[in-house]
Amino acid sequence: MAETVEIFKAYNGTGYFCLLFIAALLYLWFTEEDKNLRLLFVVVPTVLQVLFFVPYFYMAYNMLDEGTYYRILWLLPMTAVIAYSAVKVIGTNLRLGVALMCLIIILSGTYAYNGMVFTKAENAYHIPNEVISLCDMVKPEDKDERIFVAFPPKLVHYVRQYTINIMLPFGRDSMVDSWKKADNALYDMYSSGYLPAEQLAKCATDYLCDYVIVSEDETIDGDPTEYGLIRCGAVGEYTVYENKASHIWHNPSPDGFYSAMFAE
Amino acid sequence: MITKALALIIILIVIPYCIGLLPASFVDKEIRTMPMIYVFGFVLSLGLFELISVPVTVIVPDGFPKIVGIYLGVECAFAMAGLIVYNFHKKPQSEKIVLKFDENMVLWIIVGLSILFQVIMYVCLQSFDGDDAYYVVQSVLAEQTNMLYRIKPYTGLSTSMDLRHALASVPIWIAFLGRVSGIHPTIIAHSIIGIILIPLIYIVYYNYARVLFGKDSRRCAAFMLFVSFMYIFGNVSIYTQTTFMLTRTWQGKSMLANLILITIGWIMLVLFRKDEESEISTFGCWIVLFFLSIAAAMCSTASVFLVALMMAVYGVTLAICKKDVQIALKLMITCVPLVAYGAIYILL
Repeated sequence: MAETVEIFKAYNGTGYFCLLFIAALLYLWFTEEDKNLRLLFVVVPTVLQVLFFVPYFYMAYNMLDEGTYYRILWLLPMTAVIAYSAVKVIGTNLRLGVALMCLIIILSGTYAYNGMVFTKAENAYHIPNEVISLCDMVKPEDKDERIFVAFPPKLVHYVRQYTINIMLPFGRDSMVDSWKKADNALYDMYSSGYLPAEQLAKCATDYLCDYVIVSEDETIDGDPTEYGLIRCGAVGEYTVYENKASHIWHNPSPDGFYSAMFAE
Repeated sequence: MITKALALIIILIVIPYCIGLLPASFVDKEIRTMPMIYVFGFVLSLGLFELISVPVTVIVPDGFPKIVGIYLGVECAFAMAGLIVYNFHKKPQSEKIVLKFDENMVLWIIVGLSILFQVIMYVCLQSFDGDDAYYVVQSVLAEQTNMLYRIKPYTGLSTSMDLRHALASVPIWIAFLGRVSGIHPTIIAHSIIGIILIPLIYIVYYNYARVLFGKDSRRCAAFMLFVSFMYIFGNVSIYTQTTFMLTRTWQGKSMLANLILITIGWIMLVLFRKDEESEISTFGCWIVLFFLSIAAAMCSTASVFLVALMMAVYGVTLAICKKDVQIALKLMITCVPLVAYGAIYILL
């Protein structure tokens, strides 16, 4: 029960829409004369709401899909019930009623388009321009060709949304702690923020990367050019290195990524 | 540019509307409206896509062109059938709209502006969502390689079919829109599809308003205004329907929460708000409810359980309160596609 209450609280977050919803249900319970509507807008949502808090139901749901129990609350017609009750409450006094209700909604909720969630779109893809410039710099000209490029973790989500010609030595599946993931030395190095140049070059070769991109946030220890990485350009805070030893396709390291890929 | 826009208008507006005429022919003229027809058609279009794409995905690894070809053919056939059945079966209902600048009109203008505001924000703002690294990339992969769920979107390596995700074909639908319009699927997802989906969600809510307030335009407008404000100010947590609608408009989960589930709620209103003695025909709504189950499966595999639960709660509650077990049985029948998808998921 405590867990479902926590989920309910997390769902309602910073707003008071749940209180508005409960108030709307109570109001309709006592005032709605249409018995069919009372069934659909009061009884059914109440049953769903009660079901949500039943511990056995919670346990059964978790056996099917863990971590998404809040979605049961999507079944409640919260928006429609609140809006309908509000229209009923304001009755004929429409002008004042609408203004007042809009004010209540504004005070009960959280404005969606604040800087916390959204930023100005930089292009029609809605991915950072830096990613597009980096991809354009390294992607193969032939549209059927594929190359591996090591991107800093904060960019990997975007790369393949722009072009699938670039393959990644590690992706989001390496980054989410709760997911089952294979060990990835390159990701471990990137996520530590400390990149010894020799090790970076070796990993890049083991993971078949034609290019390695490093952010200013990451500290490179040593000079990568001494280990076969050639600086070939920069975009904003990112530096692009070409890995001249990347023709590993023809000479795979026995414990390298090439072997792991085909073993899978 | 014009050709691309035209292709999308035909696929997302004209054809669904024509398809919607098919179930609408089996709904009483008294309650039939243009917004109702469009929502009906959109749901049927989604359902048809799921019916075609899942078998092809399972059987043909690089079957994306087959999905495009078959789906276009089936869509056109259904649209033609809709036009024919509607014209021969029942005459269209024309509703007189009298434009008069008054308080009512002002309210509707505010409603329109608030919806337009959300559409503009969808196009002009971007939000980060990690799931796009899976879903949007699957769309790009399907459109550019024809491969269906056989490449790991995160890295690009080959893999066996990802059945769990393959059963929910919204990413392939986005890829389909990309193929027919010639626009990159990421642009379709992030900058275009919301232009249709956001107004569509409000069309569903308008349908609610029509059931609740009939032709009382002022109260319908007030209802719509409250709904749109609850969306704009609904970012109370990352879990709510409204947050999903605003930040992940293009994802199946958002379509499930904001389109499928609210459409089911509206259909329930249409079906069960009327008196038992009423002779208003609603057979078309049952057809749409059946297709809603299929469209739900298209949006998310989790929908199999969620929609079945929703139907079960409605069915049992209504059957007990109205003392009519047939209601529960009829609603159970509409869940057959969900059971079938659940079985495929378990068996394959």
